[in-house]
Amino acid sequence: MNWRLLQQVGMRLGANLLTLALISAVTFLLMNVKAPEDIARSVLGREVSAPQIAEFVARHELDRPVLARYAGWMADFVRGDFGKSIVTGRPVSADVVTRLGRSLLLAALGSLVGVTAGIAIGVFLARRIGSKTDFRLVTGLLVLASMPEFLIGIALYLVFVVWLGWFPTQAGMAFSFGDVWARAVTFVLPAATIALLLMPHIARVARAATMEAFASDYVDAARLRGLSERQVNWDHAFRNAALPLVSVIGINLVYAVSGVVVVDYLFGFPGLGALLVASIGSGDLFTTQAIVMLFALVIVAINVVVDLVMLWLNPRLRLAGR
Amino acid sequence: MSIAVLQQPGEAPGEAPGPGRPALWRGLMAAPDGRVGVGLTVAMLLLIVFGPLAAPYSPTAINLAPANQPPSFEHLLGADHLGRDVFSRFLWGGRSILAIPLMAVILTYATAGLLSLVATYRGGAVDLVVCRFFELMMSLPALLKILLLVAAFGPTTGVLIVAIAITNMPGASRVVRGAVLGEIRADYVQAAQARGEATLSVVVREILPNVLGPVAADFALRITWGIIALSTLSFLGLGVQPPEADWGLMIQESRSSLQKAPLITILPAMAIAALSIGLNLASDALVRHVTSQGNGRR
Repeated sequence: MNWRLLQQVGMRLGANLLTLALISAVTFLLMNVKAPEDIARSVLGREVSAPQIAEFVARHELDRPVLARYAGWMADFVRGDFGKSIVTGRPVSADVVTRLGRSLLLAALGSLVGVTAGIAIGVFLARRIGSKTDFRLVTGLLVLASMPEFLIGIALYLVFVVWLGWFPTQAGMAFSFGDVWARAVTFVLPAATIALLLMPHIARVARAATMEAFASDYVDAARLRGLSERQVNWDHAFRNAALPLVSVIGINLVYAVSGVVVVDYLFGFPGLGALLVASIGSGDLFTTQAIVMLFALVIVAINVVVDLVMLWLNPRLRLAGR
Repeated sequence: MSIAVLQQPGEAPGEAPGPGRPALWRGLMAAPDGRVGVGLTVAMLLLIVFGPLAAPYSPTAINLAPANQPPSFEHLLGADHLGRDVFSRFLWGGRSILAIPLMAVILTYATAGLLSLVATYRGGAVDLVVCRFFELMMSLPALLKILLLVAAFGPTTGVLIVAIAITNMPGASRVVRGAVLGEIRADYVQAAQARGEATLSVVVREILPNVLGPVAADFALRITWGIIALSTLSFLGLGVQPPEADWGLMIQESRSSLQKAPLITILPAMAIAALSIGLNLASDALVRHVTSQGNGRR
């Protein structure tokens, strides 16, 4: 460890914490654009009496100043208390926490498959630049990359649920009544959708990065110094190809996390995304802001890890001061 | 997404002489995937613009036919759960899905694009502040940003346009900045500065025409993303609202009857796919052409 590296790590952590604070403030402000009376009316319905509105506003403390409520919300949030839903009256954390686990598992599974397949295809293509196979596959990847996620999901749903009948129509049933196996099965199609969503982007960057690394001077130099092909590949070529790749994998992990919203809804998977869509639809502002903050937390955590890996991989930063 | 380091067979870089629209068009049509993209896009545009003229019924009139009616001679694609003519809804359904992203990207470039153009040229603290601001905006993924705005202000057309415009701002700003940085040291800019031209005049009359290539390519790409974002939102029930005829909304409404009547879902789905694939192939070919030509250093 050297001083400059520590300084770099500290700066990135600080910047990410600041970002998180900013996201929380903007989210909270946006959820308070509506007047308290309007929030009450959107939840209770149009024909509601003035005392009922006043009672609702007082019960959910919507009449306190925004700044005080923001401070209170943040203080509770870091302790794991996300407030009570203004629609159902249940504690938000009870609905959110189990779903967060499922959604993270789903995003992780999808990313793992998508990133692995993407790198494999990219490296495969990098050795065939300019060939017919290369051109066809690259165009195919571009076509896949231009498909909205929900269309990829609907295609999978049509083939595997409607026509082949291999999977249940609503994933949620398995979580209410099914055993472990039934629950595991429900992950397959949503995870496959996320994998297909990420794969083309990873493959394109892996292809370009590998191609560039192998064509570079330092690989030629390593060969000329008489290093073994294995050392050339792993210590010189792939290590440098990994830099742009890690950054794009980071972007795509974030993409996978937000991609959960669509697959949840599409497959009826009881994750955080389905609850987010439902809470926006029903005007459940407290649930919405809690879920957005949880997503933001996960995303910032991913960014921190990506930053650290980049620092570790980049020889200019790693070796500085040695 | 637009990592354009690849060169495709059949594409000869440096063949097209100088910047300008004719050269841009020739570069686009030189790549086979560019031609396919332009063909698909033009076909879909014709369908979207002239389709409504051929619609036999109003797209929103209910109880035209018994609900959930299978295809017949009166109703070529049958009727949906409210007895509306599916064929007419399909012909009308492309308008909003094209118009909203188009207006959003125009808004993006009119605000963030122009701001970055001037800020990059000015440099210094202004440039730094603008850069940091747009970087911060990127800290939440696009879909979450749009969902937050829709949750706060409701899914009206205006909110959808602004939300999609906002998510496109950081990327557009980056493209403009890269292109301007590539031109800023050019002889013609320095000549204009030496003549004592005002900042605005240098930016608008000298730099702007020379960064139009990368900007045009990026513009097309962003419309694709706008279409993807809007159709996703409509699919989630938080975009274009009923009773409007919109391809994304049609998929959302017909999803529950996917088992019995898959056609009502498949048709708009294929239309959205064709539109975004066509636009993406074309804009990708354009990005590649502009980058290989060297006047779009990023």
